[in-house]
Amino acid sequence: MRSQVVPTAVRFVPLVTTLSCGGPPQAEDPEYETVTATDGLWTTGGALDDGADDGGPRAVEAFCLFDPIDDLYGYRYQCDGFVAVDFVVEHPFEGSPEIGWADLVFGPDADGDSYADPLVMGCCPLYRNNDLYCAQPHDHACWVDLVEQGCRSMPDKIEAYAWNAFPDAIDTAKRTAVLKIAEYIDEHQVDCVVAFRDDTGLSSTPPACSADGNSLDFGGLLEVGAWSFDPPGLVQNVSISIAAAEMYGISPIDPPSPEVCSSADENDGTLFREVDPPDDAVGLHLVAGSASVDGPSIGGSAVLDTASTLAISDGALEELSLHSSQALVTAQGMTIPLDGAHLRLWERADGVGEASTLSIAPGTARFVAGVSALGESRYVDDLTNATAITIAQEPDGWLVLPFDVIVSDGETAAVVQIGNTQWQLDG
Amino acid sequence: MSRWAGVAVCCGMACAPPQDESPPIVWSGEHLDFAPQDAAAEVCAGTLPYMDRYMGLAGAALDVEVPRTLYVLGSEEEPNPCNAIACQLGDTIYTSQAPHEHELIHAARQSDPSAYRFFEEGEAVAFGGDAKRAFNDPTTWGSIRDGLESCAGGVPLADRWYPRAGHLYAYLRRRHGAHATDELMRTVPRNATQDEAIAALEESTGLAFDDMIADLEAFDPFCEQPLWFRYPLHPCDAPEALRPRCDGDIAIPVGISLGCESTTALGPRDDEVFGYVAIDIPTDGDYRIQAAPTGDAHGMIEIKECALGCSSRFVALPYRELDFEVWLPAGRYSLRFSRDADGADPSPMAVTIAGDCP
Repeated sequence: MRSQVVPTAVRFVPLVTTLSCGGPPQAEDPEYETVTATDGLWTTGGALDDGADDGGPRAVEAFCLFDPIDDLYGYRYQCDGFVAVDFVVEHPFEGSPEIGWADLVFGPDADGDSYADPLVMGCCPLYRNNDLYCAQPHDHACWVDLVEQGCRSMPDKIEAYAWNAFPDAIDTAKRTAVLKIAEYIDEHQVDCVVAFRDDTGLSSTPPACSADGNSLDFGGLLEVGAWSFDPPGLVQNVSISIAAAEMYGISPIDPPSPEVCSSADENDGTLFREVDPPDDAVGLHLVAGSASVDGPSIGGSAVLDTASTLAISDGALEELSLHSSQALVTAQGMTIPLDGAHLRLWERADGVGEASTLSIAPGTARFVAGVSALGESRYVDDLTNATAITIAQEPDGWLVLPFDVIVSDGETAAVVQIGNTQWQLDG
Repeated sequence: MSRWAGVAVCCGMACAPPQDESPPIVWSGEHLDFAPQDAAAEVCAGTLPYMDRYMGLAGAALDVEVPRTLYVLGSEEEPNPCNAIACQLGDTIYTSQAPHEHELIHAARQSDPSAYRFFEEGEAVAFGGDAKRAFNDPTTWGSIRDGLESCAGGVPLADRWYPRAGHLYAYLRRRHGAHATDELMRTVPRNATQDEAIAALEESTGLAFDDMIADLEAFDPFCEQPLWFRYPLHPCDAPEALRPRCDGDIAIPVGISLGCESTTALGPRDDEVFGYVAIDIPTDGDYRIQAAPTGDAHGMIEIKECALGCSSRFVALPYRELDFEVWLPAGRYSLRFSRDADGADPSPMAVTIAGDCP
């Protein structure tokens, strides 16, 4: 078992140099301050509301709300931390067992997370600045919600991994095998939560402080967690485990005052990834399109597969998943045929809808890209569109005008240009 | 349905049990006669001696003379006089669980006049509450004052108040001593009013009610799981359950056999077989807990400080590949080992707890 998380950029050193980039940028969110496990080393008792019941809703006092309880409300706290998930799957193809990873990063500085719609949250009593962090229930609530959110997000994460790691037609069988895991997890959410929340002792163990005011090592408990299953189909002996987990703290601490909440169920609709088109989104599939890459030390072109998909709603790009099994890249004087390449929208991107056109401003859409060549696969995330993405409805379908995505390793950059792509309604 | 639901309906009822309808007694101990109904599940070898011993320990802890008690084990499908999962009627316990420590405490206490339900159930929770509440159960909310009012005049205490009642009892006994809780049990009858119950609390603690509540919250903030604040009479008060941890400077395995034929195996209950031993931790410190032998065996180990209150130490750890360091204050601890009842043939479960072996 690994003792510390390996950064994405190290794990997935890009196969193609221009796809090399570091971890996600740490966006500043000055609105909230994070309280850490070492803050708040004073102790005073919090008063228990023991007045007569006036019949109205009251704030929860001693524990956090995991499910709504009539006439009780809590305060929303955004949790800050990460968990690294490993999964191993056996299949009958070359390369078995397949080993994959998924990192779930959350908190005020994590991309895609926000206090208004937190990836991991606690709905808890007001945090008492003068009491020990370890003696209050917020940290424990964060760990519990992390398991639930992690289990809920895992299918998407594994699905993303499957497309990233095996984007080419040759590896369709492998990709399908890994996608089966996502399907199984999606259908066995209770088993997942039991494996990582109950069987680890996480749900049974209350918050507690050591003599020097440190919290119990809930991350250590979670790291013991493992879930093994044997789904139907070609894949077998799937094992999911936690490589590393840390909780840095919660936010906000007063001031400002947190918002009220009914329970930690409030963020159930918020997943670590990503795109989840609403029911009324327009789903499209690719008719024709191409892409190219151009940089100081690399060039290439790709024909996009008709398996590529797009979904739009009023005012947002809901999904975009571009795949190619016909791509050539020239780097360092060599021309390399790619087994596969893809570019996939990471999360919903808001835009401006006007008449029959939807425009996504530069820097608004986040992507993950993957390539597979010479028997290896790599992917990078945290890419954004350098130019606007314009989607126009035409008399005979939809057209996405050319747009650029910049891929940079910090020193050199390459432009991936998605050319004109034509789309038709699904079905 | 929560396993607590309905217990309050008739726990501690004073009416006479229908003795003539009881199944035959198949086992007798010092305090307990055991009479399983036809559909009752088989119990593991340690269950009946454990329950008998538990009643004896309860008598000592509560300073009461334990009456002989009939333990009628049924199943959840069979009717019983409780119209609930379990109850104690006169000198008989009806339940579908074995062991059922909560009812054993009621049975041990039955020689006293029926007490105010908030205190009576609080005692059974504090000394009995071995069962876990569902994690996402809406556990308890509202004030102690409201809880006291809810059962005034002898009204059964609603399920949701049990943790609050147990926590108050734990606070009273730890902070104000056994005489405070004993006095409440003795002097506040079941049909007392809320005002009378509050007056008795003020009398036994020497504090105005609001001051007592403030002191409770400062001294031992509430936690929702009785598991976290209970006092496990067995193994904590059972000298025979105490195990050595060190052999010289070597941490030695502290273990238990959970094969159902073993005299240390309890249950099955809630789909698990479990058992207890006790250890002493002589000094505050970090202790490294490892499964011994290591392996893939599933199961859990729960470490509970032998003390009442939410501030007492409790840690639940998975047995599989267990290697975990935890800070423990000095004191006696209960170690609860458990495994799935329908699991493969169990190997002995044991842990080493290293950190201070001289």
